[in-house]
This record gives sequence, structure tokens and C-alpha cells, in this order.
Amino acid sequence: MKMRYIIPFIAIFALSALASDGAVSLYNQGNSAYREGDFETAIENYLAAIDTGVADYRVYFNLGNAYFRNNQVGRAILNWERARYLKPRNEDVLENIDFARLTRVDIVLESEGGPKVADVYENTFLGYFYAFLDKFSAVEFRNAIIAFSITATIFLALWLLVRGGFRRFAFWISAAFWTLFTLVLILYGFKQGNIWETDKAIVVQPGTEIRSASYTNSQLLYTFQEGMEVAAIEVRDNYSRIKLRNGEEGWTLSDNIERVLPR
Amino acid sequence: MVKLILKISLFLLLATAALYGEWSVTSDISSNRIGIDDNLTVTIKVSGDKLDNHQQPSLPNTDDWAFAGVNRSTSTNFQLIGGRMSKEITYTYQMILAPTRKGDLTVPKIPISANGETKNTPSYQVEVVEGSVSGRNAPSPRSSPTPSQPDEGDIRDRVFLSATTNKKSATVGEQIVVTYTLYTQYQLANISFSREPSFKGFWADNLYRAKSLNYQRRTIDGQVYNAVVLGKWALFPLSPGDKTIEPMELTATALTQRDFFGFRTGGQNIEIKARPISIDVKPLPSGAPSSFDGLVGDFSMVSELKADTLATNEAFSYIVSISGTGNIQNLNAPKLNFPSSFEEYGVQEGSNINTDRDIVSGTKRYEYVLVPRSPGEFELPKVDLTYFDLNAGKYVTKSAGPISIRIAKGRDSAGGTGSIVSRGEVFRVGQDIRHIASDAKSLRRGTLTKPNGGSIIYFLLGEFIFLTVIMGFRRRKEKLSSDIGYARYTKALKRAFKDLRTASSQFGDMEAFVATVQGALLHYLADRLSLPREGVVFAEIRDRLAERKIDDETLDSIEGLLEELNFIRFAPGEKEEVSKDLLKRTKDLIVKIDRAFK
Repeated sequence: MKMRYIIPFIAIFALSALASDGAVSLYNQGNSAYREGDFETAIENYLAAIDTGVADYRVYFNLGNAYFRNNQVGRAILNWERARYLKPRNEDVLENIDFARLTRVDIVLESEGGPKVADVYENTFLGYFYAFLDKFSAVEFRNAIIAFSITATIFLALWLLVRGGFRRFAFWISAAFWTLFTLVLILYGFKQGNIWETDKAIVVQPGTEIRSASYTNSQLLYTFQEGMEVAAIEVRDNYSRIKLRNGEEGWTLSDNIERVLPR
Repeated sequence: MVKLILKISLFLLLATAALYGEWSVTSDISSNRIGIDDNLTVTIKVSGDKLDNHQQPSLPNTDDWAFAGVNRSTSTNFQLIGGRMSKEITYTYQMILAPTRKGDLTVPKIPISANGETKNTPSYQVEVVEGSVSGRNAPSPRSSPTPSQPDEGDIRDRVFLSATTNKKSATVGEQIVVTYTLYTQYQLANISFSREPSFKGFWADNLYRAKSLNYQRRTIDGQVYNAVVLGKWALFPLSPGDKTIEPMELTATALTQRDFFGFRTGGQNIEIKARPISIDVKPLPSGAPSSFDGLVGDFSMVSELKADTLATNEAFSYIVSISGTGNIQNLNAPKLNFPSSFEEYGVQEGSNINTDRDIVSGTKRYEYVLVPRSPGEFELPKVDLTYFDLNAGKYVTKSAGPISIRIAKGRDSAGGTGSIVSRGEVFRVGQDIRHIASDAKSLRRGTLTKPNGGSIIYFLLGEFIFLTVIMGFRRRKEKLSSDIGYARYTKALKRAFKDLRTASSQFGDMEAFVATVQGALLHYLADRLSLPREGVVFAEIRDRLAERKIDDETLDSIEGLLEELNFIRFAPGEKEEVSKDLLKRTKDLIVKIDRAFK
């Protein structure tokens, strides 16, 4: 009788382990192809590994490298950004993103040299604040919130149950953890409310046209290099409404950009 | 009867008047005081329900006024009065008269004929002064008059296009203004450009292009024309030699034909062509500096830096602005040699050109976008601007810069795969991405999505439930410690079972067994009824139990059990089996009573 319930769990774990083994194999094959300079095969293997259901920063990092070697800077930055989302303080990931930005320089290719798309938050309090939030992943924030709330609850329960000097100690420890919980919850709210965290997308097609409306003959605002960061805030038919770092908005074909966090 | 006769008489009178056709003439003039360059408009209205044999009025012979034209309009009003339809026709004539001399002039009476009758307008006194009193009377293209009757042979003499320049000779790069003016003595219709002017060998800037034809009266060789400037261009010769400004050509219809009433109804299509103009363009003097790029006029230049931070890999702009009067449109972006470690991202060009008072002037702004790749002290190059000053007759060179800047280390300045040392500066000679992560034995499973905040809510909900349970537990504990009756009541069953478990080990000592079992039952009842445990007797508590709705059968069972226990204490023989049975029955009875209490 009990086996009837246990067998499905065993099957799920077994399949999961098999899938993971397959992903590891594909990942390692991708690494071998990369070392041999066969970047297209490496890309195929890394993508196949991701399709098996892994979300490991190493796969995205190596995939970004393979794209970069294959002269696809936009997709390289896209996958490094995904790796950063999973591992926000990894030095290799951060270095590669910075390096790619040097090759991009946020210059708009309009006629012969368009303007730089300045970041409205650059050198502002909000800019530093969001840069601080970027050092931690959303999962880390969530786990910290849960850990703080559990600790605070346990000490609150002890405060309710025990007597003597420990009771006061339990109260203050609980209060401290509830404060931490509230603080991190607010930060988490800011992080999740920031479109550059949740809706960030990367231009993956060279010469991407940013227009004023979602039709072909609307006013051309910018022509972007691949690798530029935008925030995809709305999708209408085959167009995406995007926000630029300088605060302006525009429309582009959805195929020209790819979200860091797929919907 | 009298009233009837009067009504019939009035009707006949009105009918007769209608039959013969009553009509009237009113007139007015546009002003009592005009200038010799102005026109006078005489407005005549002829109204009536019937206007037979009516003809357009004409100006009687006079030396004081020249007839310059007439506009006619007709309106018809219908009215329904007393069930009868009446009609009134009104002819309105606007005769335009040009004064022939200054002084007090008289507009003569103008005869109007209709229905076999002639009526005259009143005569008007008009003071004619020098010049023009008001622009209101200037002829409009619609009312553009012909000063005389058309002559088919000399249309081209009466309609022509004039091209004039402010200079017949100029230096290369010096501004010349060419103006195209249309002169006509006819009213023109369907004007269109068949050929735009050609300025081969010149850089041309349009200064003015007529959007509507606002004619002005001009006199050329004693002939009065309506003239309008069609366009104006600023020309800058590009090379020396004899240059020709190719003509502009128009087509138009000159309204030269009149109908029976004298109105213009048709005309002749004509081509109007300006004559080409020759310009003698002189070369610039020799000895031009190498920085000279064809700029002629008077100019100034400034350079500036636009940057938030001067650091490696941070873009900044070097801006050169050139302002002045002359052929600034010919100006090209200065070619600057920036330090080799500066990456150039093109030049953004902006211009603001003015053509006030037909002189071309303005500002051109060149923004060089640069990204320094190495830190250190650098010098942005000096910019030289050379132009030929027409007033001074010599070449003038003006300079801006150089500008010294210090580039700090930017965001990528750490690390590097190699370097060379030169003049105390360290330059990175190679840079690459970090190598791939090594092979793995396991990979983290999951999906790349933003975390769901729902898990936090589930945890908080669980913690809330946990705390609620803890608080309930704490309250119960407090009540048990502070309320003895509640504690006895709550723990009665538990204590009874405990006593019965004790009794189960006392089968060998029947005295103790019976006391324990009786105590378990009676103490349970005492705890449930909040009575003192000591000295409790069943007979005393039977009524209390009945009040708690314990049925008689149960009460009898309790009583019977207690009696059996008393009996077994003194009964001979093996008693273990009986004791076990009693113990079981006691337990069942307590459980039954407990259910009843609940």
C-alpha cells in the first residue's frame, strides 16, 4: 500500500538523476568542443544541456564565452547576464560582462556616430543603491527573508514559552531578526520592482532599429548595436515596447531582443 | 365696402409696381483720402425684383481717374411673405480707379441703366495726396488689373521675369544675392514653374521663396506694373571664371479676353523667362595656408570638453564650434589627430544657419566622441581655422586648444595579460575574456525565472500558525497553574487511568486493589464535579451527577460496581480473573461517564 506512494517519488528522482547526468555530459562535451575551437558545437551542447532543465551559472557562462568567440556579442552578453543572475558576485562573470561592454561602449550607430545612451541613474544615489542590490541574487534575498523570519519566529516562541533571564534574551534576538527580515523584505521589493532586474533584455541583432511606434514606418529613433541593454516592458503582436537606460521609450521587433529572464 | 375698395386698390398698386419693376441704386467709396499710389474702390449696388436691359456701369470720361478694373458679383434673395414668393436680384460692382494727379479730385456721377430707365450714382470728392495712405488698396492678385486694354502683340513686353544680382563680380566664396521678380500688367492665372533656376558653379542657399503672390505697384520706364518677388538665393562661387546663372522659367495664363460685359473670361498661355546673368568670379589670392579649406567671410572658433568623468573606457566629447558670416555651409569637420590610445567614434555635426537681412551666417558644431583606453596625461590637439577675410583682403588663421587632460583609471583598469613601459605610463597590450568554467560532476537543476514571492508567504503563514499554537499552549499552561478546579477537571480522566494502571499491578493485594480502583472512580467523579477528594461518598454525589444529565442506568452501574468492589474484598478463592473484569468494567464506565460530561 505504501509502495504505491513511494514508487512515483523514486521514479522522479531516478529520472532527474538521469537527466542531470545527461546535462553534465553535454556540458562537458561543450567544454571539450570549446577547447578545440569548435565554438558552434560548444554552443549546441550548452544549449542542449540547458534544455534538460539545468540552471547552473557555469553553463550560461561557458555558453556566453562560446558566443563571444563566435562573434555573437549580443548573445554572449545575454548569457553572461543570465550567469550573473544565478551567481551575482562571480568574478569571472563580472569581468567578461565588463569586457564585452568595452567592445560595445553604448554608442548608437545612427548615421555616423549617434549619441551615447546615458544611464539616468549613473552617479546618482539610486544608481549606487541598485548597484548594491545587483551584488545579491533575488534567490539570495528570498532565502535570507525566509531564514530571518524562521529564526525570529523560533525566538518569539521561546519568549512565549520559557521563563527566567533567557526570556528577555529571546525577545531581543527575535526583535533583531524581525528587523532584519523587514529590511531585507523592503530591499527585495525594490529589487523585484526594478525593471532592469526583472525585464532586462539584450539586443541580439546588429543594427536593431528602435522606432517610435509598433509599425514599420514609424519614426526611427535609434539604431542599436547588439549587446545594448534595454528593458522589455510590453509585448504587442510581434513588437516589444522597450525602455532605454536614458529613460526614453521605443518599440522594436521582438526578435531583435531577448530577455535575460524568459517569461 | 370702403375697406374692400382700399384693399383692392392697394393690391393693384403693388401689382403695378411689381409689373413695372421697382429698382434702386446705392453706392459708396472706399475712402475720401487716398495716396497717388493707391487705388480707389467705388462700390455700386443695383437691386430690384426685375432688372431688364441692365448693363455694367462704365466710368464717364474724366482726366482725373484711370479705370483700373471692375469686379462684379450677383446675389438673389427669395422671400415668402403672406404666402407669396418675392425675389430680389442685386448686382454689386467694385470699380477700381487710379488717380492721375494729386489734389481734390471728383469721382463723376456714374450712370446705371435698367428697365429702360437710367439712374446716377452721386459724385464724390476725394483728396489725393503724395505716396500711399494705406496698403489696403494695393491690388491683390485676384483683382490684379490691367492698366490698359489688352494688346495681343506685346504681351511679353507687359509680362516679364527679372533676375537681378547685388553684384556683377565677386571673389570665390563671396556671397552674391540673386532675386527673381515677376512684373505684369495683366491679371495672371495658372502660374507654375517650368524650370527652377540653376546655379551651376555656385553653392546656393535659398533666402526666400514666395508662398503667395502679394503684388506691389512698381513703375518702370513710366509703365505701371504689378510686381512680386518670387524667390531669392544666396550664391557662393565655387571656382573662378565667368559664371552664368541659368534663368528661371514660368508658364502662366494672361487674362486678356473680355466678354460682352467687359469681364475677363479667357486669356493666352505664355512662357515667362528671365535672362541669364553673367558673373565675373575672381580667384582668391595665392599664398593660402595649408589649413585653408575654402572658407570666406569672417569667423570665430572655440573648443571645449564635455565629460562627466575622464577615465579609461568612459566616453567623452571634444567639441569645436565655429561661428561667423560667409560660406559656412561649405565648412568641413576639422581633421584632428587624437592620441593613439583614444578610440574615435565619429563626429556628430550640428548647425544653426541664419539668413537675416539676406546675409548667410551661423554656427557649426562638431562633437568628436572619444573613448580613452589608457590612463595618463594627454593633450587634445590644437584646431586651426583659416579663412579669407574679404574686408581685410587677406587670409586669417584662428586657433583653439590644445587642451591638456588627465585620464584616470576606469572600470577595466585592473588585470591585463601584458604591458609595456613607456615614459612612465603602463599600457595594456592585450586583453581577453576569462576562460570557461571547468568540467562538472553535477549541475544545479532549476529554471531561469525570477523567484516566486509566494514561497515567502507560505513560510510566513506556517510561522503564524506555529506561533498561534504556541500561544494556545501557553494560555492552557497558565490556566492549569492558576485554576485548580480547571486543572482537576482537565486532568481527571488522565489521573483515573493512571490509578487504574496502578491497580492492574495490585491483583496480589486485594485490599490495595479495591482501594485503588474505588479511589480512581470516586476521585474521577470528585474532580469532574469540583468536590473535595477526601471523604467522598457516592450517595452524596449521585444527585450532583443526575444534574449533569448522567442517566440512571449509568448511576446504577457505578453504585453496583462500588458494591462489587466491596464484596470482592471479602470473597474467598481466586480473584484475579474477577479483578481484571472489574478493572475493565471500571475503565469502560469512566470512559462512558466522561463522554456524558462532554
